[in-house]
Amino acid sequence: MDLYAENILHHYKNPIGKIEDETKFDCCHRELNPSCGDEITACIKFDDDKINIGWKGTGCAVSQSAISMLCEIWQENPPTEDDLLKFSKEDMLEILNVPVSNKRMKCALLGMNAVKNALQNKNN
Amino acid sequence: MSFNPLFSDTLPTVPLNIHIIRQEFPFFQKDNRIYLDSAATCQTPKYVLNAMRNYYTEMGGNVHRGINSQIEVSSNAYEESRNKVALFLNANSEEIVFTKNSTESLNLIANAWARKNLKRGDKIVLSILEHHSNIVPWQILKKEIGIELVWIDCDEYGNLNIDDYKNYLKSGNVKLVSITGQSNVLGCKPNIKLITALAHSAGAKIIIDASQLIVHNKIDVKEIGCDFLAFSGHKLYGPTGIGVLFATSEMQKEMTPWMGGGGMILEVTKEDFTKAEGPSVFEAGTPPIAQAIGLKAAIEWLEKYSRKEVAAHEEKLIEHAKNILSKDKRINILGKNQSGCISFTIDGVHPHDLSDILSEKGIAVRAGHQCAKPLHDHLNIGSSTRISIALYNTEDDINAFGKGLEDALKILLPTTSS
Repeated sequence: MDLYAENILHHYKNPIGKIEDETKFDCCHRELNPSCGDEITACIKFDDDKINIGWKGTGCAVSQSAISMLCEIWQENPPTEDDLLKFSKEDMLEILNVPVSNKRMKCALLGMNAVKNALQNKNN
Repeated sequence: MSFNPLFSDTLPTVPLNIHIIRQEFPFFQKDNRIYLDSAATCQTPKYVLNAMRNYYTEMGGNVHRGINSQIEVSSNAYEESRNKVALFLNANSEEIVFTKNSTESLNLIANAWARKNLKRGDKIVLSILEHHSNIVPWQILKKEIGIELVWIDCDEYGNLNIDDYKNYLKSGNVKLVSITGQSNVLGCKPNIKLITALAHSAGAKIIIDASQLIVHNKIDVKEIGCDFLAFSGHKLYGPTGIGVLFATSEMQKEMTPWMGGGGMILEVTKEDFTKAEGPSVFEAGTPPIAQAIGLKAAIEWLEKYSRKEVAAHEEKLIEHAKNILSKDKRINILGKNQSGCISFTIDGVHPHDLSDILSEKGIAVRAGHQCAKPLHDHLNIGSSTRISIALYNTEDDINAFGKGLEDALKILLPTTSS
């Protein structure tokens, strides 16, 4: 399958989970890709043991669709803190379901890392 | 008054036959490579590779350390390289310091001159066109010694606001101006001769970052009148790992060593050291010997050709690229008077996606903020795509890029048309 599969481009043009207002969330983290200047700010809000996730940022089709796909899944089944901690690079690549070369790996993982680091910020 | 490039057409030249020239580059003998990223790094001709190989196979010594024939022949070759660079810039050999690259040259000035000679409240003038390498060293100084940075803005075409610059100079305390000779994004060339004269009339010193300019224009440091000038070898058909800092003898008197070690001392005791004289005082440790020899070869190689003919060839390629890009109304070309490179944006298309698709087709372009994030912020764009050319590029390369771009946009913008 091609990197620019229909599903990837659809999420890029119709992103899920994008937010305007960070203040409604409990903690956020801005993740940068220094090689291209792309950025994603992921925000999380605790709702009992479940977590709601939103994001904003700019970037390429790969980074933007990856975080959008995560939000699509997590909006349907909100994750627990443990789910987020266990969520791995392999899980992200499985969700993307397109071949990701080494040079695009940072793009693919930008959103996931933003979410994980936002969770790290919860006690700050 | 605009900066007039000087061309070394008095030197003997060979005809500019690009197809023959391409055969001199091993890089172009493999696959069908469309390389349009020479502003990042140039490909290297065999002549340069052979010169470096010759150092390793025939010379094989360190420089200026001890007495053996390997050291003698290597030291001579290294110093001949310095002489060649000096001639190339119309400088004196003592004014040429070898570094790792432009970035190191600029950091050397920041640490060996500015850190000692500037104080809290002094101002450094930069332009918004600058590459990060001509921004961050000064931001480090700002944090550490409290100097102030002031910025000359540009219009949408990359023309610097000279009135603002004059006002900064009038406001006092400007001790240093550090300006690119050619933008690595917009391809425009600030009037460095005028900017230098204005800096000096206000008592400020001036650095020219010639990283991009060096390969497209003949540079004469005496004609420009600058105090410092920096460039990298690998953007001039030379190897990586070698850079040049031109620093006038007068400025070198105000500089102190920024790195200590072998090669930069006259004497060392347990208590103290005495520094050496001349440019080697800024070349602590074993220098990039093979690379300096490679840089000399790169200059010799380039000087075989008429710089005027090379410039005309490159100008034609940029015009051709501009014509192709201008035909697609979805494309926004950045700047106006491009030289050496041309950058653009396309609504709804991220440069990384575009360059990745082009790369799959064997076409190398640059995507991202191009190490010039403040300029991108100023132009209100996140990132851009750049094609940049060198002597070895052909109209076919540009046509292949045009076709590749058209195909990529069919994937990335399936619902719009040009």
